[in-house]
Amino acid sequence: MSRRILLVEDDADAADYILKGLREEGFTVEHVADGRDALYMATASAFDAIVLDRMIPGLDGLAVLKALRAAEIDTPVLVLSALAQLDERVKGLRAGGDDYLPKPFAFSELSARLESLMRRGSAKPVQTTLSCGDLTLDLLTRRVTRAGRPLDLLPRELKLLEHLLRNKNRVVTRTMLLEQVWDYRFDPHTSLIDTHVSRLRKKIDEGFDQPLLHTVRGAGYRLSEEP
Amino acid sequence: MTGDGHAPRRPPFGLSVWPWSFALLMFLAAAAALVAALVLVDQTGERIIEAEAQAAARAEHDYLISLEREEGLAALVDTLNLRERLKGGGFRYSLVDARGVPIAGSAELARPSRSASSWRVVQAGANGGQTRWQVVASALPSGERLLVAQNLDLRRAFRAAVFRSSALAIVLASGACIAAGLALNSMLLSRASAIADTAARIAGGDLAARVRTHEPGDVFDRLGVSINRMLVQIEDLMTGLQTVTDSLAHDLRTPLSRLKGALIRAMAPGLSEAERIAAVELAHAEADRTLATISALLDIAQAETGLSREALAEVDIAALTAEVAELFSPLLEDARQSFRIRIPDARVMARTHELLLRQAIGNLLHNASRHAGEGASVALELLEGPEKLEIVVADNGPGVPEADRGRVQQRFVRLDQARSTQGSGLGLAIVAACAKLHRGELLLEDNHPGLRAVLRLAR
Repeated sequence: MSRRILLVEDDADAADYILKGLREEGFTVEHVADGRDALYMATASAFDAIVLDRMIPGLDGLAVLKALRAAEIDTPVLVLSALAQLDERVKGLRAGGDDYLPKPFAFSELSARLESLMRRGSAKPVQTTLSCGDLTLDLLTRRVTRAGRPLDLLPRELKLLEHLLRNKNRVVTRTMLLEQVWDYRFDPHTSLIDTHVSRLRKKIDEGFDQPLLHTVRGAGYRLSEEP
Repeated sequence: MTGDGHAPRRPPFGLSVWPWSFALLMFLAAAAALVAALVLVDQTGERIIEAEAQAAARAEHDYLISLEREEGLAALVDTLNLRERLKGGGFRYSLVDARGVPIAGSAELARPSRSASSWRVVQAGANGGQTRWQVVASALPSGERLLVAQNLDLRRAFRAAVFRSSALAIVLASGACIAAGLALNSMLLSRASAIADTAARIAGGDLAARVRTHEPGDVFDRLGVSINRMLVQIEDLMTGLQTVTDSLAHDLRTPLSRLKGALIRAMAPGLSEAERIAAVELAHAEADRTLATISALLDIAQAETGLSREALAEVDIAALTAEVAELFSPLLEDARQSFRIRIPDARVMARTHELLLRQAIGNLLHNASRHAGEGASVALELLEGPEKLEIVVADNGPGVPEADRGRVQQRFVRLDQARSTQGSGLGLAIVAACAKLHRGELLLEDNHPGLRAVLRLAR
């Protein structure tokens, strides 16, 4: 069954861009351009995720979000906004948004975040180990092994690896890593994340035949057995 | 200001200060006070003098009665005749027998005597003139009548003298009051209009105009000082705005024209796929830089205006600092710098804007990694005080010349040696704005050698 997404966006160009991208990825997308319709749709039927623009006619995006949460609708919501300021972001998350993406954004960023949100929504049984191929992270002892051989990782490398393992086979963007691993919501103007990733890659991939940590051009990184 | 259609309206209830109506009001009040004071002085004076005079006349009269009783009529006659001759103290005396024939003292006084013992006023021509007398008369046991008269004209003269001197004193005092009032009035007006003139000059475009003030100041000087401080702030803001506009135009023009160049290259015919992708990626990177510059500017503006205060929350600064240090440590390692971190083990709670503080610490570490040079040692410290917190990033690199330390905190300021490296010139401006939001300051000190950047936050 294909997953359903509600897109709330009043700007026709932006809506077209997102609709096209999401449909290509195999989602079923409902599109509304107005706050009241959004609230009606979201309460009338079930969606796997909602992409909600902050500035929409009818009802303000945050008001829609608050109304949804007040009605105990827990569908993950990704808030889109041209208001990139710190406080707008804080307000969006406080109102009950699960993630916040400032405009303009690359479609790959939107899709990666949606995947991450929907996975978060579906609760999984408690795991004590995470693995990808022959790479294993024991969450209790914080020990990492590859092909049975122990690897010596720094705490910051462990944190990064855990995040990549939890998003196995999915693209994780640089901004997502900055925000979700280090809670740092600014572009540091450097290849900071690349440096972190290349150090981790050196430890987990060097000396092994099959690389696990891949760079996805123009998007970010993916931890996967497949190339 | 000569507003077209915006004539200055009078404040309600006539609260505006009209100089001449004010003076007139003062004058009327003074005149009313003067009249009231004179009436009061006259009436009170009259009453006191009258009572005094009656008492004096009665005492004189009683003395003479008792003299007659103790020493006989002959002694009284002698005394009266003696006193009448001396004509002292404003008193006249007369003694008449039962038939009204004068025995001693003044004969003229004796004439109009009807009642037995009462106050009355007679007009008698002493020395040819008309003088008013007040007479008290009483019958002696032996049938004679004793008359004691007091000169009313003396009393009148005294009363007039009191009246005149009081009037003079009050007129002088009122005159002084009015003069002082007028002087105060014109002083108020000139001080207030000096301030108004300055404001008018500012409105006319002369931003450098200032109100003249004196030390130690009165209330107008304090007003002037406040206004001047406000003007300095406005001028700073204007200059800042001008600088930002200029720099923004420059700093956005550069990446935007590079972006355009890259796109033109990507559109060129006969390009290989790899070359085209490389050109598009270059354009992409330039677009990112432009967006980052704009959002950094918005962050600074928001932090500086204090709007972000509502986003402040209790945060463990120790954990936050450690996390940012962890995030940025690869940058310092890449520059072969040694990185020493001294953060308390316990939690250090403070009300902060978490996102902005993370960025501020990140910017300081980023700056150290870029400007301290290869092999430098960098130290990050969190110092905890009861009222303030200090996050210190110190290096032993080349440092910043003292003259430039204030300048580098401004937006878009990049020292010549940093021009070659990439950077928006907004890093320290964000740190300074963060400090300001937390009612603290950013101090750039000499680390002997190197730079010691202290981000001080009020708790």
